[in-house]
Order: sequence, then structure tokens, then C-alpha cells
Amino acid sequence: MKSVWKTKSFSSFLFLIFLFNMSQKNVAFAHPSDLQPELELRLKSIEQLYFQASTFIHQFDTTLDAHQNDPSSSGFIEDVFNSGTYPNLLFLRDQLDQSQNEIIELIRKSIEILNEPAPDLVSLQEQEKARLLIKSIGNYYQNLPSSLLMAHDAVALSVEELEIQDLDLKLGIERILHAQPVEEENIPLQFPIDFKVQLQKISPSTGSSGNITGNRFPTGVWSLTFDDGPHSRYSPQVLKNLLNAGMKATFFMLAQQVKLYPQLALNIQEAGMEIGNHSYTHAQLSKVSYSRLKHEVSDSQEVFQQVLGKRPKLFRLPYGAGVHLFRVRGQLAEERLIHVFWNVDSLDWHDRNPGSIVARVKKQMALSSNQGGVILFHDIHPQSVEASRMIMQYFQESNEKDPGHFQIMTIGEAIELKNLE
Amino acid sequence: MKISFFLGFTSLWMILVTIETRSAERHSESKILRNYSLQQLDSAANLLVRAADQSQGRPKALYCRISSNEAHQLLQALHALMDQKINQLLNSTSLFHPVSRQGWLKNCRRTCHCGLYASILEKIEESRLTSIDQKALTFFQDQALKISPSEMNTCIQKALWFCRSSLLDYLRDS
Repeated sequence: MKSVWKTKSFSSFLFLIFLFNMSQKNVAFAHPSDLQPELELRLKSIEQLYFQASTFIHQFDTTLDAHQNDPSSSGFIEDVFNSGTYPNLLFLRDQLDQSQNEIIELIRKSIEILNEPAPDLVSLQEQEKARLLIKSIGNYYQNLPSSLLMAHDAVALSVEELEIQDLDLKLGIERILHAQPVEEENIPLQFPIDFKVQLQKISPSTGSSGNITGNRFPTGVWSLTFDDGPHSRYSPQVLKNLLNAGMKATFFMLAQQVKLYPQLALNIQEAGMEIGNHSYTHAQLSKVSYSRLKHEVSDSQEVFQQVLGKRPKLFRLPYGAGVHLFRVRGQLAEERLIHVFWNVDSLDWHDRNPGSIVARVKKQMALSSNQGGVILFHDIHPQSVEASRMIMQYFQESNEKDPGHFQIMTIGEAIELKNLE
Repeated sequence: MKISFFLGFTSLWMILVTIETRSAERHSESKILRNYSLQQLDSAANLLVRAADQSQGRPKALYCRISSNEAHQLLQALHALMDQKINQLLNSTSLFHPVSRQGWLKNCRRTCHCGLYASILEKIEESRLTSIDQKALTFFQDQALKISPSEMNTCIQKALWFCRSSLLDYLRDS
């Protein structure tokens, strides 16, 4: 079976080299119109590269599973990475990035030409060619099924920040932005960052090991998490309640709030609480450009470093948006951040009634398959202060009746416990 | 024969492109933000929170037959939209306009938006709140807690437009 894969992947690899060479004849183009004759071929090559990468990922995952189930394996996965599929994946990622960047650059140059004054006939002709080229890209995107549009996601997001007047291109980009999201099992590219990590361990990566939902926490282990702070009025109240209850929690803070209230952030950390990063400004990271994404993730890490003296190891995406997008998860993995989702959502951002928030939390906790996980609150509302206090009380009372029933810990502690298993 | 086939095919293609174009327009975030008021988004959130709280089983028609799990997902996208609207409002001068403030105070219980108005004022730094703002905040916070289940049901029944709205389509695509 393995040799069949190798043969298949090798032939696919050769095909891709052929395809890529064919579409890269004029990599250094002098003018956008140079690419017009073979534009469609280049756009199609992005799709080919994307879908071939998906096939390789499936092969890679299967190899990984086989390695995991092999009782004679050492538990380390270096040999999986040295196998044929992984280098192919790396090659494909590089080619895909280059192809996408080429199209982005092409659009950018065309728009520059269109924005410049055209004093003579030659400039006017150049502008007409640039306009035609942009229109061709727009038309191409408009006529693609959603499944193919996924391959052009990066192009759409980079182009989004440009000033585009052309209606055809705008509509094409809109279509790409609103194509169906990729399901978790089809995450396009997965590149575990640390080659030495043991299988199943939680660590920074774009795969499932780099995303915690709490569904794999040991039974009885729960983490309280508080987002969007620090808030001058409500965060100190939450902190006081936690200290009174003798519990630790994880606070996913916004860098802009940390800058605003550095002493408060420091107090929370010094009280033994864990600090995670929740972006710079609470932007929806699935919809921002690459440069903004970098600002929201990497620049915010700098703020935490300056104020708290260390960089957070955990990140929570605002609104949980972008958890299935490689470009978003890739940025987190690059900063060595583990993403933390949740399996209990209190909906305290909307519900003002602490009683119904508590009922909702308890109901979801009871439905949790492993009887453990991550509870989401926001320390910026009065109802959240009261509801979380009531939950802390519920944990305490349950443990008085049945010692050890609930183990409340920070996400970092839960990860350590999970990784020891 | 060939020409009529070609014309027929071209017309069909053009119809499909038109439908696709409309669909793309319908789902644009900026259009949704333009077409729906913050209060309408809040009404949708009221409905979805109830849908999220449903027990397992067949989803209720009152909640657009949206299951609990789906409601939780839709609320994440709706939360993002509402935050954008609130930020727009906080950056505008209309927030402090006495006329709009008076309308909020008068109708918040009937429309089930007291919680929303409290959340908006809670986002403003304490030092920037006037004594009137503080009183309004306390009023909205109190009133939000007093909304009874039957009052909320009435509000949700008035929000059934959401079941066939482009807003729901947008949230599902997000």
C-alpha cells in the first residue's frame, strides 16, 4: 500500500513540476499585460497546486496514523517528515505562495497604472490593458464554483485592502470572500512546527494538536477563561472572586487594553492567573489582510512582552473566527502560540441575566462528552462577574460533597496534565 | 440549430452569472451592516440565544428551526457584526443625542433592547460618562434584568423576519 502511495505521489509531483514550469515562463514580468495571454493558465495552476496539496495532506495524515498505530514506533515523528510526502508538501506550499503572490502583485501593479495620470496615447493604451487584465481576473473568479474559489482565498484577502474601482473585480473578490469555509477535516495545509514533538501532544501547530477545545481534557478538568479585558471596573471584581474561591483562571487580554491598563494586567498576572493573547484590537482575523493579521498577532505579542515581561503562549481568536483558515493558524504557529477554543459558551456578551447564564453553562457542561473542558466568559460585563462567581461557588460546593469532582486549573496547567498522559 | 443552441447556452450562462452576482451582493458584509440596524441585529441575537438554549431534539419553528449548535455558531458571527455596529455608533455623535437617548429609555423594555443599550454604555470609559449617562446605564441594567420570559417571547415573535432574511444567509455563510 505504501509503495502505491509513493508511486502516485511521485507521479503527481512530476506532473506538478511540469505544470509549474509551464506557468512560470515569465516570472519577472515587466508589465501586467505580459501575463494576459496566459493569465487563465496561471490562475488554474493555483487551483491545481492547491488540490494536489490537499491530496498530499491526506497521504501525510494516513502515514502519520499508520506510524501512530505501529507498536514498534519510537513515538517520534521525524521519519514521517523525512518520508516522500512531506518534502512534496513543502515544495507545493512554496509554489502556491509564489503563484498567489504573482497574481496579487499583478493586480497591485495594474491598479497603480490605473491610478497614475495618462498624458499620452501610450499611457492610455497601457491603462486600457491593465483595466482589461483586472476585468479578466474578475470574470474568471465570478465563474468559478465555490470549491475552486477556496484556492484563491489568499489572493482575495490581499486584494481586499487595495482601492479597487472596477466593479467586475470587486464582485469577483466578494464571491471568493464568501465562498463556503473549509471544514476542519479538509484544512488545506498542515505543517507541524516542532518536528520533535511526540504524537498527540498539544503544541503550536496549524493542525488539531495546536487547537484546544477542551473536548480532550481529562475528566473533571475545567478551565475558566475570561476574554476582552482587562476592564477597569469588572476585571478586578473577577480577580477578587477567583482569589476568594482559591481558583486560577486564564485571561485572554487585548493588547490595546493591556496598554491602557498595564498595572491591572500586571496585578492579574502577579495574582497567579494565566495571561493569553486575544489579539490587538479584537478584529475578526478571518477577514483581515496579511499585514493586519501580522499586526494583530505579532505586534500584540510585543505589547505583552513589554508590559508583562513575557510573551503569552496561548491565543484565542476574536469570535473564534479563522480557526479553520491556514493563513490565520499559520500566523499563530509562527509565533509559537497554541489556539484555545472552548466547549462551553456562556453567551454572557448578550444575556444580562446571571441566573440564565449559569443554567446555560451547567447544561453545556453536563453535555460535554469528557466531562471537562473550557468555559468562555468575558470580564467586561457586570453579569459575567456575577455568573462566573456563581459557577465558582458551584464548583466549590460540588467539591465539598464529592472531593476532587471538579479540578479547576488554567489552560496551561491543563495542557501540561494532558501532555503527561 | 447550432446558433440557437449557442444562444440558449449563452442566455443560460448569463442568467447564472446574474444570480451568482446577486448572491455575492446579498452576502456582502458592508451591505448587511448598511441594511440592518443595531436594534435588528440585537433582535436576531435575542432569538438566537433562545435557540441556543433549546433542548436537544427537533428545533422549534419559533426559532427558525435553528438547532442549538447552529445557533451558537451563528451567534459568533452576529457578535462580530454587532461589535462593528457598536463601534460605529461610539465613534458617531448620535450616541449622545438627547432625542435618540430619550427613545432608548422609553422603549427599551418593550423592544427588549435594554441589555444592548447597557452594553453600549458599558463600553465607554467610566471617566467619559456624564452623570446622566451613569443614570441611564443603571436604568438599562435594571430594566434588562426585569424583562420577563413572556415579554421576551413577544419580542422574539416580532423578530421572525429573521428566519427569511439575508442576515441569516450571511451568518450561515460566515
